[in-house]
Amino acid sequence: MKVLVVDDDEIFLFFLSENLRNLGYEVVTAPDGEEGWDTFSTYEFPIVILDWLMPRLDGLSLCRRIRENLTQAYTYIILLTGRTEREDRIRAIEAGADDFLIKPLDPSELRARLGVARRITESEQALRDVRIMEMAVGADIQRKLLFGTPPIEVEGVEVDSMSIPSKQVAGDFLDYYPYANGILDVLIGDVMGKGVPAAMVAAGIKSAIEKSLLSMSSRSAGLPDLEGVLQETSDRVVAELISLNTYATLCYARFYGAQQKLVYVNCGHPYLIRWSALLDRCELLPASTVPLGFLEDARFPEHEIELGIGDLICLYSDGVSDIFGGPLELAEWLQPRASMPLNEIQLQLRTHARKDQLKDDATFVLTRWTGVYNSAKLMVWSEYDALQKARERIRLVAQGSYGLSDDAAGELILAVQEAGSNALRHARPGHRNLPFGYKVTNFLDCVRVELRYPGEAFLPASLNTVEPDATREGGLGLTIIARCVDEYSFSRDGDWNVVSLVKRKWKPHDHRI
Amino acid sequence: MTIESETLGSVVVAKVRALTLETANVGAFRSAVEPVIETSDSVILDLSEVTFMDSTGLGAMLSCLRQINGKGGSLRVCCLKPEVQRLFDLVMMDRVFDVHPSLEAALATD
Repeated sequence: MKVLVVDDDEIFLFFLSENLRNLGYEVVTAPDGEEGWDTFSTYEFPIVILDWLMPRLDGLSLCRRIRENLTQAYTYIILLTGRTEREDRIRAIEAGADDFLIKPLDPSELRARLGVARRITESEQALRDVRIMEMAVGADIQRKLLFGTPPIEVEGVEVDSMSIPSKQVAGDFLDYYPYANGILDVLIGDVMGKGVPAAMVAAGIKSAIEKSLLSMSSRSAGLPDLEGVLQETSDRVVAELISLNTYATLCYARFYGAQQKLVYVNCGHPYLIRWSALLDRCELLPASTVPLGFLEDARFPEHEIELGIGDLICLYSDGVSDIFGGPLELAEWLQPRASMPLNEIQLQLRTHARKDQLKDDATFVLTRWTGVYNSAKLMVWSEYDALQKARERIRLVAQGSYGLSDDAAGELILAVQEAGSNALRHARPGHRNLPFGYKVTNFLDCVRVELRYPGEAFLPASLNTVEPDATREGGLGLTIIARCVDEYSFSRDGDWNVVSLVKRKWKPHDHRI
Repeated sequence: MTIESETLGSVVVAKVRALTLETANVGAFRSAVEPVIETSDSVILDLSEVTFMDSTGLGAMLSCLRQINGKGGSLRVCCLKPEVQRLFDLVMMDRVFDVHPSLEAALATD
């Protein structure tokens, strides 16, 4: 264990250092208070022994300075003094000294007092280790159990989320529950307090909500209503929350991609912000009830909001609104940015948040109702006229209401053709009976075509090895795809190849909808 | 898919009688165009009826071009519909093929 000894008396310094080394301590010395401070602030020591009277900076002042500068670990300070007056001792304790050693030194007293110092600093260190481990466990709980990732594909709803953790573990949670028919549930919440206990309560509440969802789904055919889910959750946990003297704010929102509506229950969570694309205006959506854990007989009324094309709904934790000073200020910040692509808004928020000290976890979820104007699924067997059938059907959707321009639709169709004819060549060479599943969806900002077919895996990089004799045409097909659409991907889903082609209706830098 | 060919002086004008030139009918195109390419040194491919072409169709045209160039002849292409023109633009085929807006224009370069 390292000990810093600060004394201007060279002989005494030598004598004390030797004694300490004999007791097994690693000793560093300084001849006066200022140098003592420099050494201390550079290396930090668990035990510091200071002489009271020293030139430049006396022991009492150095003691105060050490206490004023919070160090990672506790520093045990022993003051060396010839003074035995009661007032002097009180002054020293007030300055932050833990113990005294009276000059001239009695070696056995030195050993005993350092034993105390060692015991205290070691137990403090052990406690600190436990705290650090708990923090790591808490952060792990939060990351793994409390934060879901947004679904990639929900028809009609676009989602992007961001979470900036603060320095300490907190009780924030967030998850998504997508359903097959373009319905997406988003759950966001925050348990009072900080640290591992808050994260554990959050995990308990989230699990209770999921249990309620599951048990209600098993009891009835339709989707469980939000009011019912929260009522059942409250029945499960409210008594425990009250007895633990804690509570959670949460907002449970359900987006109906195909029906232009949002239903939510907000239990004391920060107000949802809705930006109306039509009016170019932000509004705060009213809360429904008190936080979970406030009242045993709370009710959870649902609010229903009709959404317009392009409307943005923002769910967030108070860590985000605190950055701006409140929900209204956050809405004001959001207003001029609301028509930007979601990831651009997130990026700007991240840049903004960095400038401020983040006191709490900042969780920010953006959902935009992109609308589905039309979509179609087409299943064809891979005789060659299948590609023509697919082209005709895709053109109908792509150029339907709010569709692509003639040129853009032509390019998308060309890319679809290349993907299909490429599949015919490589998926099952010589084997014509290949099922092709096309799905074309006309979204607010783009038209997406997905082609699925079984057979040999196709990875663009492997083209030359798959088809050595037709490299040129195959390469040409890929070039055409790359130039005709704004996004494309080739992937594998089990035994199926999945080709996704996206044609945007406007370029990404046109932020206006 | 048929190819209607007409000899105008030293040039053979081969008109592709099909709405598309693509994966589905590229085999038929190859068979139909083969005799024309084999017997003529100067060919104009008239694509005025073709409203859609994919890379496979383009590939077949490229092999015609290679074949004719190989024997020192020339292949011209004319009357591209907008959709086909777009494909040519995308892969810069106007640098590979001698493209003309009309049959008259193609003949005038003879």
